[in-house]
Amino acid sequence: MVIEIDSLSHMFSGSTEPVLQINRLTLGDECFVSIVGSSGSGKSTLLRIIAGLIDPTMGHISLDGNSPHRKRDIGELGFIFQSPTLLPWRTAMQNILLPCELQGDRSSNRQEDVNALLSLVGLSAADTRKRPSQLSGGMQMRVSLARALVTRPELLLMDEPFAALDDILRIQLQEEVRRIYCEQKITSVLVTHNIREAVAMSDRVLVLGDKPAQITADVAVNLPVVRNNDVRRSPEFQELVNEVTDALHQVV
Amino acid sequence: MISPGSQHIQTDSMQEDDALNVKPTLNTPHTAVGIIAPVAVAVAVVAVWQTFVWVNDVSPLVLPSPLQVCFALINERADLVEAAWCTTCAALTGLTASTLIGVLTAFAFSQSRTVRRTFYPYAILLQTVPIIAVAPIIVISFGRGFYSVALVSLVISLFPIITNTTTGLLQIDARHRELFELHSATWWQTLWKLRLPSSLPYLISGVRIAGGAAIVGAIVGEFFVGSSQPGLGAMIQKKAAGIAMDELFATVFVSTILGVTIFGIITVIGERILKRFFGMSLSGVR
Repeated sequence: MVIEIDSLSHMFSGSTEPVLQINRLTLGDECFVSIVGSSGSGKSTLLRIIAGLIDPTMGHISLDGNSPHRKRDIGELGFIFQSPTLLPWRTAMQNILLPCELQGDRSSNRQEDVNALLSLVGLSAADTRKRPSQLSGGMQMRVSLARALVTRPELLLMDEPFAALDDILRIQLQEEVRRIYCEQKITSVLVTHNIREAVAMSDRVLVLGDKPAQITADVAVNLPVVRNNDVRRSPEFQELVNEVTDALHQVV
Repeated sequence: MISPGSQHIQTDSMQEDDALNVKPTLNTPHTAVGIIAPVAVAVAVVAVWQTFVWVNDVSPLVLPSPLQVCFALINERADLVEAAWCTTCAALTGLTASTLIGVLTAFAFSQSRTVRRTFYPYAILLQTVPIIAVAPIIVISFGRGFYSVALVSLVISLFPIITNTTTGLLQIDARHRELFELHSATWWQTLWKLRLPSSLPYLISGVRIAGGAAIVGAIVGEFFVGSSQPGLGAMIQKKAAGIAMDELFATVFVSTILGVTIFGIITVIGERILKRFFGMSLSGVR
């Protein structure tokens, strides 16, 4: 899915200064893009504008030539929140199938599709019978990931999904999301303040400046498709981390 | 509150964390101290009371001893059980009606700020007008019968259900709302699949508070209805008029036990529901 942003500006109600200002930005089809910036820089606002959860004050955004609302309505957007955001009274399986229920799409409920999805995100059938309070943080995030993928979206939006996880779990899930991206070729946008995470997962890193948030650097990540430990320890990886860090320092 | 919707991230060492994070609460006296300490206080109070009556040779018409109250409990057990049953029926009828009316009112309040602002002051009236003043009006208007008693019980137990459920219906986790919006959920889907389940912990908390109040309301109602409705309230009135202090104390004791029992039963059922469906405790609802 191609995302095109043109003369986008957003102000919160009661404010006179724009929080976000992007003149022109195109995110290519089947590309994994990360947006990094300091806390409160407007990263999450940009992500919510792409998702159609916030309407920008000015400017235009299109997803494959359609409005985000249109893409949202036909189930082509998946969103992973900062926390798993599961409904505690529902079992993991009921949480996973919630988007299908809401969109009245029973076709995604076919057992073989669901089984393939569970296997993709590393959940067992036994896990899906449990309620969120019975699952560990990592398992909850896998359920959240499965829920985002259940409608077979063409665009996956992630709002700092690993921020609350410990280091080992974070790296494990980063690798799994990257693997899912490689297998499914879903256009993905990740918002994060973790530079190593951005470089490890993406094909392109955008650095967002402060007040108003605008793209100040666009770094292409030319690393092997599979980002294993060897890649993460390579000098090329470290160079890219340094480049993004420098760009972020200039902004701050 | 723990918002019913918000789950904290739990690590794989969740059980260890939980064991370390056990906090004593007013609702869950699981520890030996939590049970032994209140019992010890009760035993001490009874001992002091009995000693005081013995030493000062206090007349039973002024203050009966705990032993005399015990004898009255045994002698009057048949009447007390029947009266307690009548009071329980009236209180549960009032509580059921207040739960239904409270949930419907809360639903109306949650749908419109105008409705909320217009009618909420009248809901507060339910809480602020003394029930002792309202009960005679109800009894005169609706007659000296079971339904007047249940109505008094309804009036006194309605407010906590309205306020708690309204809070629950309005306090939806922002990310849950976004999740539903993202998938183009309809108004009905958001109500049925998000708002109502999210408000359940608040409703349970409200019913728990209302349960004790419903017993008080039924007793006050019976007090004004008199002998035509043979509940604990009528019995209290009869024993006070007859200056049968030991039997009066026994009736008050049974009334207290009844209130505590209703509160306890609702707490146990509520805790089970919340633990099973929300992974939380009533102490987390505020």
